[in-house]
Amino acid sequence: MSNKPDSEKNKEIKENNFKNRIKTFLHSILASIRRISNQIGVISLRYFRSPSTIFWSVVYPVILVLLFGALFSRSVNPNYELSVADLDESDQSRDFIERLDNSSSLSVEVIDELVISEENWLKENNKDILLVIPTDWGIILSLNTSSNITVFHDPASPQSRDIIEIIEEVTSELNIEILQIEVKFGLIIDNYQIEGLSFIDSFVPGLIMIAVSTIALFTGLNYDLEEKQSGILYKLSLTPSYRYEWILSKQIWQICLALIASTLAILFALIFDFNAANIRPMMILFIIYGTMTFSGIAMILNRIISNPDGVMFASILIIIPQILLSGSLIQLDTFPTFLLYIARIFPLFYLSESMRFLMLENVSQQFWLYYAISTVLAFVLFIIGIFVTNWRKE
Amino acid sequence: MIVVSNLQKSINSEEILSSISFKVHKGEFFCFLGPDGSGKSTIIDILVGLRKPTEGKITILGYDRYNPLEMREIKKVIGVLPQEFRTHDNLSVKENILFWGKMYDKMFDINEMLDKFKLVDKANTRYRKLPGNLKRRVGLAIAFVNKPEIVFLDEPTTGLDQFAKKEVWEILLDFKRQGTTIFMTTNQAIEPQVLADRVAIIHKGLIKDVGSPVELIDRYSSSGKIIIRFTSSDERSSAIQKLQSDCPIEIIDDNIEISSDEITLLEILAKLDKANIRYSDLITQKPTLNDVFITLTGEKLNNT
Repeated sequence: MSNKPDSEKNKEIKENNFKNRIKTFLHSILASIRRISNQIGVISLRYFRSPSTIFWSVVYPVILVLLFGALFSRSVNPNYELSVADLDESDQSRDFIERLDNSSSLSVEVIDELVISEENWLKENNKDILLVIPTDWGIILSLNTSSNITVFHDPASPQSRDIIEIIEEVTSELNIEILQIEVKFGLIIDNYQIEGLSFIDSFVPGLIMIAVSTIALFTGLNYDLEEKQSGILYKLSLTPSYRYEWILSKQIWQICLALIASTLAILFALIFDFNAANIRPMMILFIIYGTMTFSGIAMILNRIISNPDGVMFASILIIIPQILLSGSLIQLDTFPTFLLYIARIFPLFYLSESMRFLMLENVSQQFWLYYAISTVLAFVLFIIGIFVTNWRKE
Repeated sequence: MIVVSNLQKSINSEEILSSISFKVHKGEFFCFLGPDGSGKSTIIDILVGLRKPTEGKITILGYDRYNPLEMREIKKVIGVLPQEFRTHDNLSVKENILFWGKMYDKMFDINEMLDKFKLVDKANTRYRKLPGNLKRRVGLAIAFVNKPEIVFLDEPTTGLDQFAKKEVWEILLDFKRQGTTIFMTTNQAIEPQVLADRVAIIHKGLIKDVGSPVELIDRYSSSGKIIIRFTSSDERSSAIQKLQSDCPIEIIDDNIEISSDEITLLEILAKLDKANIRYSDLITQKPTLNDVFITLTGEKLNNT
């Protein structure tokens, strides 16, 4: 007998072994997908049955858009009211009032009543500012003699300073005309921003990253704590499920939630003239990085602090300074220099700034730097989180 | 099915388990009986992979517990009810059982499970709204959902009333009859006596003895107790005076307890009649695993 049949037999066995291995591998992949989708299904059921979680993850960013959108849209086109007591009623005073009224941010209301005490009048009429043009002001002006008009205002009112500035502007304009001085140079104000962008456009990127970070941090902490305390986590570790499946299912759900919250934030921002052209596919990458970064932080917190109250307190301590100081909510140029350095400690700073650069078409060298830092932070924090998460008792 | 030899566990140099060895056979109902803190839960935790042992050899269904790949195979064929386990609060009973079932390659039909565990009426009730005994039953259903060959139950009836306990016992005996191997821990002597084929008595991390409940009772507590209740304390004092010369007497509340090793029931009756001492009740009590535990450890179980 030759060796041929034996070698064929061995070949057949090898082929069968290989086929079996492939079969086992495919079976384990399918089982893994089944368990992950099962876990995502349960997480979503739990989510939709918990009104407080829905509020914090979805309604909260919408409220922020509505609140800040309303504030910003007011500051873009402010329309102040100015009450004027015209005691002169001359052509000159009427001309001055008309010039004030024609300025883009001011509507003038000429009051008919006699004002005896300006202070009392302001209080009684609940106004912050009153301009008084004295009797014979026009005649004195026409005699080429100086004559003042008076502004009474509440110094605590944030609007009054802006109104005074407008009055001063109109006053200077009129003085130049009366004195017939030739203006040698003027000032043209232009901005570097792309045409069509408003405050809401630069606000939305930061807001999206705030929503993403809070969703990832709080839902991450919430699920981990609940599952640890109830014993669900230990029980999961006793099933054929892998730890990565548990982490991945949570991560996928958080990304879905972050995408829903971001979409809602953008949709509501459209009410305030948000430029839809700012939406870019690469935004999804930053949303994923945001969830990775903050769920990594959540996993680390859960490992370091065992007391549930302590974990929640620590998470608030982490997220609030980031929201306030990373430039996501408040523009960085209003910060003193030392706070600018502090802002650079926070992962949210890099995420928000990169998102802002991306959405406002400022893909500069700085964008790539912040993008690189965001990427590194996301992977490092997430990987540390995975390593420190223990679903066994030891 | 389960072979454990020389299992040891120490935490911070404190010995929790010392030289634990035992075997559990296929289809057997095996119980670990011991007070709280005796190491029962630690044994289950180690067997199912929640804790690491310090030393020892463990095989389950022929698989090596220490080999991660083989441990995965073990996890596919075991069911576990950890102590104080709660499942998802916001999910219904049915959703919870389905969730855990889908983590395995095979599972019982959900309706069959609800029927077996008498949860049909509560199938759509949220878990958090269930009373404690039903929550425990859901936990048990989850432990059995994957048609396991071996089920590990860590004190499954703790905190349940007598009626609920009996319901759980019936369910467990039903699964045992169908061939499932059951490994259970308890601190109640009655449970292994009713349920177990064999029981291991554990105390301070050490197995004192292993055997069937009948064997252990025969080995360590051949006699029962005679409990006498009296109509008055005077009668009781007279009885103590009369009987204590013949046998040691234990006074518990208004009763006296005498070991039937020392004196027969007839001798006691004769002595009380002769002295004209009246009693209200006389009970003979067979020995229990609780007595075995006392004999073996010199201590009482904390939950009898």
